[in-house]
Amino acid sequence: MAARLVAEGLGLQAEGHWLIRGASLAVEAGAIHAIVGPNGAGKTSLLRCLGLVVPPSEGRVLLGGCDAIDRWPNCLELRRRVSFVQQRPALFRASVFDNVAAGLRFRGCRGEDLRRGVAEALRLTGLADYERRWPGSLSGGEAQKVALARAVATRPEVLLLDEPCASLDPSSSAAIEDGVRLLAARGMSVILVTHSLAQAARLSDTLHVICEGRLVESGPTAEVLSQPRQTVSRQFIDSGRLP
Amino acid sequence: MDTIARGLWRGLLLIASGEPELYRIIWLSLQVSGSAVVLAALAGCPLGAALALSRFPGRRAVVGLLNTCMGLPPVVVGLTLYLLLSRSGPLGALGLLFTPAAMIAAQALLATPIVAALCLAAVAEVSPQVREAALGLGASPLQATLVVVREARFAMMAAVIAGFGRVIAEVGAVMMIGGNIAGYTRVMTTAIALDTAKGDFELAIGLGLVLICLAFALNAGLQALQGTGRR
Amino acid sequence: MNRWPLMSLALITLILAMPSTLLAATPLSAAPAQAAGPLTMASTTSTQNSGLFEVLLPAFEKHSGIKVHVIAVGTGQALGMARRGDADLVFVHDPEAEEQFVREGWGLERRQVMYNDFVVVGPAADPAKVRGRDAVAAFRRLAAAGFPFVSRGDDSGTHRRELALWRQSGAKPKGASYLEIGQGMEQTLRVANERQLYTLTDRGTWLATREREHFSLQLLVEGDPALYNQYSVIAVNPARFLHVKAKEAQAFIAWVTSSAGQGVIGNFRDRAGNRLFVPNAR
Repeated sequence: MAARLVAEGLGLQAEGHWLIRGASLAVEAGAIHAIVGPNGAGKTSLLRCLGLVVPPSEGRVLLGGCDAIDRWPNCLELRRRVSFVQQRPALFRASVFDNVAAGLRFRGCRGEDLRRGVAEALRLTGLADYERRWPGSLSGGEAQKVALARAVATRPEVLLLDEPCASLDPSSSAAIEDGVRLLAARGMSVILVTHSLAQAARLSDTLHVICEGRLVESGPTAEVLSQPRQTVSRQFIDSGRLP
Repeated sequence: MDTIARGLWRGLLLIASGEPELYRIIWLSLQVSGSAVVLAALAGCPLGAALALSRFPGRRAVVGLLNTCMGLPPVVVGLTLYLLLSRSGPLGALGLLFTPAAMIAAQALLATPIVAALCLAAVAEVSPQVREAALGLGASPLQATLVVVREARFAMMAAVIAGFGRVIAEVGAVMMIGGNIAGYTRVMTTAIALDTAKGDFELAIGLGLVLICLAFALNAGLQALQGTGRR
Repeated sequence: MNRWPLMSLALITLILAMPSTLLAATPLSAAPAQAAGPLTMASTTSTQNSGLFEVLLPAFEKHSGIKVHVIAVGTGQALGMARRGDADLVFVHDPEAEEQFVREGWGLERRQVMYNDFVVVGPAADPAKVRGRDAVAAFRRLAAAGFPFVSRGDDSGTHRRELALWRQSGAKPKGASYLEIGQGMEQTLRVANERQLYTLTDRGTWLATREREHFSLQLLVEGDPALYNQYSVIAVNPARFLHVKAKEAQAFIAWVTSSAGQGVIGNFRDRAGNRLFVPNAR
């Protein structure tokens, strides 16, 4: 199957040093990829480049064969095929409805279509009665679900999640994971950054290990976890393994 | 003490009696300061937001200038505008001295830096994560900017109210520019100044009470807005 | 990032804001639909505070349909305003300055309208011993006593008369007891009352405030011709400023010096029932 999103040799430089370098990966429809690595390895930077939120200093990002970086900054059409959810999502100072509707509104969606899109996204994440609520009254788990709902309301081809279950309790975590599985089953490509190897094992079919800005290992999750080829990745995986 | 109590009582009676002179003065004050703050908002909100979101050489200096202008003494603005609008001044041909229009202009000049500086703070305070979240949802750069500005809307409204509070209570500029003409350019503050000088404390106290009530109302509005912003 | 839409919007708004204010506010500034626009008259605070204009101007408007806007400042400032072209006529009380004003070509003609007089007031005990009918002598004695005096210090008609009297007495006021407060007559009287000092005031303001504010000051010097206070009206010279409403100004002068206008002045009483001005147009 042709890859939906392809990254080739992505590099991001800030204040003189490279946050990521030479990162390449390819995601197909319906696939769930996980990116793991130690703190500060560059996971968020990689995701931001893939989400076209920040222009990489070098490399290409191809969506459906078109290079977005080539056209930067006029890549809005391509960027709209991807939704990016931040690690600690900044919800807008508006009702849950308006938050979830934001992406749709950016694309010019109005009226009945808008309402339907929002309702569906809320249903998917289990927030059906939350339309009138405001961010200040939400728990951490609920806020994360709103952020997820808002990202999927626009039916993106690719969903990028930066540690979606950080600081969530197990049941909220499980709910998010169920949501991700459902979306992938419907054909969405998902790339998620996680600090939990167990979560990666549960959810993803492909695993990438990133260390000091470089993708040191990529492959089917089970394989990478049981037989990491690189030393650094082995050290990382071993350190995360339960005794 | 006796005078104060008597004056307060007479002032209240005056307000309750619906004295036309009093209400004409109040209405003119609201019109002049209201128009001025509308203009200040039109000029100051975009200016403050733009300054908050942009980077260019000399930006620090511009922001510093703006903050300095916040503290412009009303009499100085009044004097400068007077010299400009006087018949022997460069803009004399407009014939605007001693008219409400000129008073509006003077107060707009006073309020704009306040509105702009506070809007700048409001927009600058918005987390950069907000812009990124918007971009991540497929916003165009312009749409993302508008999202950031919308985030700051409550604080920006508070900025406008602050600007209004400043100009409704000032006397230096409107006195010089308006001339305190009875029934034409006499507003609350200039009327209080005049009546105090004349020893006519009733009207002065009545107007003073109205001004204080206005200040309370404005403050309550500000509090409500700040509360909404924190929801 | 594209900030330019916002920046240009802000700049355009700023540039457009000013003229559109001025234009938009024309409804507020428009003179009521009348034959002629409002007349701008520069006068003095003491005249305004007496309340005369609240009776005189409506009477004139009824007669002629012309509205008069009064800007009340000190005499010096009033003449200064006229010299800048910001007034159509002046109604002040300083003959020397008025004559210079006309001589220099700023005004057309000095027309007498009404008079009252100045008086010297001071502490009831009169420590400087000024009581009497001789103003210059009184001022000499005040000088000898170290100038225990409150001056308006605002270039008003009263202030100028005070300075003229000092000149005539041969003394130059100075020292810690000579207070120049730069304010109106009522405020000056209040300060004099508080500090128990002497001051020069027009009789009208004295009568009006004395009762209301329960001063302990006493009227000490009156009746000297040097205290005579003549009010005159002068139309600003249209040759100097084309925009001046010369016709309306002449209409006002004609009316205020006519028996109708003079009658209004003569009949005017302040709240305590005092007659403040004596009409004396020629």
